[in-house]
Amino acid sequence: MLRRNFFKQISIVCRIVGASVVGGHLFRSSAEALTPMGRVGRAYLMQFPLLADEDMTMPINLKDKSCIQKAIAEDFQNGNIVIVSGWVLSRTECKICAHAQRATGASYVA
Amino acid sequence: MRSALLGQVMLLDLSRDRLDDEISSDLCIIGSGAAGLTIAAQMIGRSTQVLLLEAGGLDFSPASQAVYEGQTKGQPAFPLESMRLRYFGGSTNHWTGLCRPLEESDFVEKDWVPNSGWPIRKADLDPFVLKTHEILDLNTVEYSLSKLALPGSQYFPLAPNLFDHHVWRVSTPTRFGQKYKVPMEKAPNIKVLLNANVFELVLDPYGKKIVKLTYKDPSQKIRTVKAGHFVLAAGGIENARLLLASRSVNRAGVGNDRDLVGRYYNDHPHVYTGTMKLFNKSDAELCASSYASFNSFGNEILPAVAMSPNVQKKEKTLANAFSLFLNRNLDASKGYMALRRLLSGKSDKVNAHTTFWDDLTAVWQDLDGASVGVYNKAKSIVSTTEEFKLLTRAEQAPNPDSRVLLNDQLDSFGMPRVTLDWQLTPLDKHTIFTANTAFASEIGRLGLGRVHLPEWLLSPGMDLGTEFHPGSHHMGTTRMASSPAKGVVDANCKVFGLANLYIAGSSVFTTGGYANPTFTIVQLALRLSDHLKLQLKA
Repeated sequence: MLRRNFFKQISIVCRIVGASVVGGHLFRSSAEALTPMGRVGRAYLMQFPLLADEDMTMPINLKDKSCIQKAIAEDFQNGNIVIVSGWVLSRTECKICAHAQRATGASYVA
Repeated sequence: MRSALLGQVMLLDLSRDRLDDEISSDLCIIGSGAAGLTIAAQMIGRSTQVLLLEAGGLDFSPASQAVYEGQTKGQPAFPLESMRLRYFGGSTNHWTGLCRPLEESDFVEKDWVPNSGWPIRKADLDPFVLKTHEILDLNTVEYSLSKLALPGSQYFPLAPNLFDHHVWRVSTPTRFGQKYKVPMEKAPNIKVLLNANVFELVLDPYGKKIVKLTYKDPSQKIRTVKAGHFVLAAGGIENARLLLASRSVNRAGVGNDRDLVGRYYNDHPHVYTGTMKLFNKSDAELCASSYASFNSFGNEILPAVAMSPNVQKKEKTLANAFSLFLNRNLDASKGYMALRRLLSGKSDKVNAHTTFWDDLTAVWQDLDGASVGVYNKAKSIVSTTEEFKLLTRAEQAPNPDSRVLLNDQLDSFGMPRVTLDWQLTPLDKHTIFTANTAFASEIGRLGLGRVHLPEWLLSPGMDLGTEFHPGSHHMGTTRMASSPAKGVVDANCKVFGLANLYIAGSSVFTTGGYANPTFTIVQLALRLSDHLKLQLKA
């Protein structure tokens, strides 16, 4: 139930998290049926496996679109960016994507 | 053969006209490109007798062009004989026409850029802006995109403290040879010698002035010019070549006591650095048309996004600017272009220089290119987003190890050929990387889209990918400086330590900004003309 609610939230968030758009370009050859956000999340978790656990805290309300948008904009403004598979993304959107990926139960250790 | 006595025929071609073995003049200009012809044109009608020497003829000739052949190493450059042209009008016979003055910040010394800082300021060249516009057939001096933009255009609302919108004004482009041929023929005080291959500037025994130059006509006959003042305006590579090869008096060459001639060679690295994906397709379409070139006040205008001087200082980068191109418009394979002409009925010999059957054959021969083009086009139609390619044009850091050298091969006139060793530094790659991540962050902050950067840009080392090419802007080889320890010419473009040798053209640029060089070349040539007028009067 909790997991279903999370995906419902994520589906809303997906529209404003730019990473979900670019996620479609990642791992095209992968046999895994990951969502675009999941792909970004997996790439982020693989890129930063040691940081991931402590980094997963989400200080923002995923239900609040404007809050997410603001956090992403602030990330970009403050240089809090991450380059994931070549895409220049905000740390917040990467963490949201990582949440989406981890909710599927998949391990982030390659 | 014409019997041409100097003073009667003003434009002499040494492949057919006769001339005395030794001639004299008040001012001798070597090279008829943008710099040389600008200076010569400023002297029309004056009492000064001017001799303008051009190594090529009136038109392109493969034999003449072959003299420009040489070697390249370091960063990949185009072949030396294809980056410039060796006939009347010089490389203005193939330049693209992009014009823009350098910024104030391009002239100042930057503590994070070793060897930066001109001995002059933008204000020293500003008085020549209007005249430069006339020469380059540019209609107004307006460079503000907001004032030039067409109604309905839409540009990214980038933070002004980070990025500025700039424009290039595009000249017709002015072909100096065509523009000045008749004025030169008619000018009573100017003589143009074609096919005059200068091979030595001869110093006096004390090495304090140029007493004469020697040149060969097409029959290899050695001839001499004596003049009160000499201006070397043969281009960024040839200027260095001629100085280094003039070593009968001083083995180091002319003006090269400090081993600076040929060093600090720089160009404008051009590289496709990333893909920008915008979320909203309709916004993207609008931006695509806005950032494409357009006509305003009778000139083509090409918008660009330039990193502000504040960010350059904060991030310790060089100057740089982006052009944005809709990705699907860049699909230009032979097969796909032919297919487009076939489908639109535009295969015609006069305008497209191709027939229906030519295009059909091209599609058959390049089926791969045609199919990839169709696939990309279809993808862009069904996609809800739109992709742009980012073309970064960057300034290059002054680097003494980036240089033009003589090698041991000789051209058909017995002159040593050159090796161009084009070397970039980590600061150059840092600039390209930082500019792209800063732009990507700004696009992200605005919620417009995201930017993808290629692997080579993210990797350490000097790899600049496969979509990298020079601008063929040959700068810095006889750089302007405040002292002979730092450069070859002074603020008046006079070679340090020599009483009567001046250099014109982009070889005197201390640094190059990101703007194409022709505009500044003409400004500097006009300024030098004024200086020479005073010197010649004295």
